[in-house]
Amino acid sequence: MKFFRAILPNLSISLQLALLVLVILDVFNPRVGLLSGLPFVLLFAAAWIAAVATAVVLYADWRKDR
Amino acid sequence: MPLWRVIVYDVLTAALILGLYAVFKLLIPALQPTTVRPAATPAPVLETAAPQATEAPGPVPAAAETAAPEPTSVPEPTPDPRTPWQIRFAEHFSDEPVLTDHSYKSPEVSIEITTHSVEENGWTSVYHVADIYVASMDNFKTHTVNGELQYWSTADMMELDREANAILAISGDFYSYQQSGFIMRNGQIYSDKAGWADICVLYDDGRMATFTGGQYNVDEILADGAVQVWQFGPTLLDGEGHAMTVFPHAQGTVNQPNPRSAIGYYEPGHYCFVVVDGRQDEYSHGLLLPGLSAVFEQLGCACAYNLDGGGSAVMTFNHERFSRQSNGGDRKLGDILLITEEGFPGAPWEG
Repeated sequence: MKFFRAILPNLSISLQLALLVLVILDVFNPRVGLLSGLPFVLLFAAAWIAAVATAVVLYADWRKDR
Repeated sequence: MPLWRVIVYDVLTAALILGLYAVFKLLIPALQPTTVRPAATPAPVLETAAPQATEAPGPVPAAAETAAPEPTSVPEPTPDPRTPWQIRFAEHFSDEPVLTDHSYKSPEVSIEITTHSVEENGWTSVYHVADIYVASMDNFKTHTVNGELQYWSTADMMELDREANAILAISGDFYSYQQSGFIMRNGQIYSDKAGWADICVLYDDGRMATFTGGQYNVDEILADGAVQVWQFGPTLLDGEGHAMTVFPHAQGTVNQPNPRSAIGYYEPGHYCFVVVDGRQDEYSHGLLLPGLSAVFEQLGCACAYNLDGGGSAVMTFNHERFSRQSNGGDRKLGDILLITEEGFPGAPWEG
């Protein structure tokens, strides 16, 4: 659990970075359909889950510190 | 751990995620054989013209006899071997093949290429118009890499041109980079799911029509005899042949001044290919979509459709590049539209 809490912010950043790259590439060539299909849905879901989990962990730590 | 190392690990992890994404999104589908199937409705055979009666001699009565003359046999009228389009557009075809540096006429094909320039927003663009008449749909085809429909397959334009023995060819809709939507080549269905992009349909009787993305029925189009369906767009003319000015389905770089490839339709058997040179500021800048639409309205087309432009836009004639491709010809293509006829020799191929 400790390890997971430690890597969660980094995982969230990496997933968001990957999403950002895909969005930029899609602007230049939308025909490839980088933002569609099951792989994108899974990546987007993973990024969303990582972001929410990071926020929850951060909030819990903040509450503990108060 | 120092911050810089954390940042490096995050960027490397992002690159790893993108690599895995590319494997599942692009590589694995490209390695799988693409399922294609023929359209359910077979293409009807184009009927030849109704036979025209030749001279029929009447009965010849004997001079001195009063007996009723016996009727002589009336010879069968000689059927006209020409197709309806060869008759209708007869003044455009020629009895023997005639090839020049910008035109080709034969009994089956008539191609006349003219080059024009136009000003748009202070920039000059050069475009080539190939006016096309064909005797039948056997002369108007598409061609893909090795004649197969395969995701992510590309080849050099001249290689596709030679494989198909094209008299005239332009770049297509780059179907091989698309995984969904409604796409069809030479009667073979590559994908039959209605998509968001405008499509252009060529039917077996020579009609062409464009459909707004998300507002067409695949089964109806197939039942109506579609043999080619392109998916790129947008549609360039409205239902009355006027230039479109708003393009809601055009995204990203398609909305910028670009080299263009596009197809126009007048009536069954009469079409045009238009290629705009671009991204060469001393020569030709490239057109926006309204400018391209205006070109087709001026040409008087009944409908027109934008294909893959940018680095893909190219026209070949007699096995040589006719237009000036923006990137010097480096872009490989997924497919081409072409005009051909059996036995066209063209220029000798140097290999």
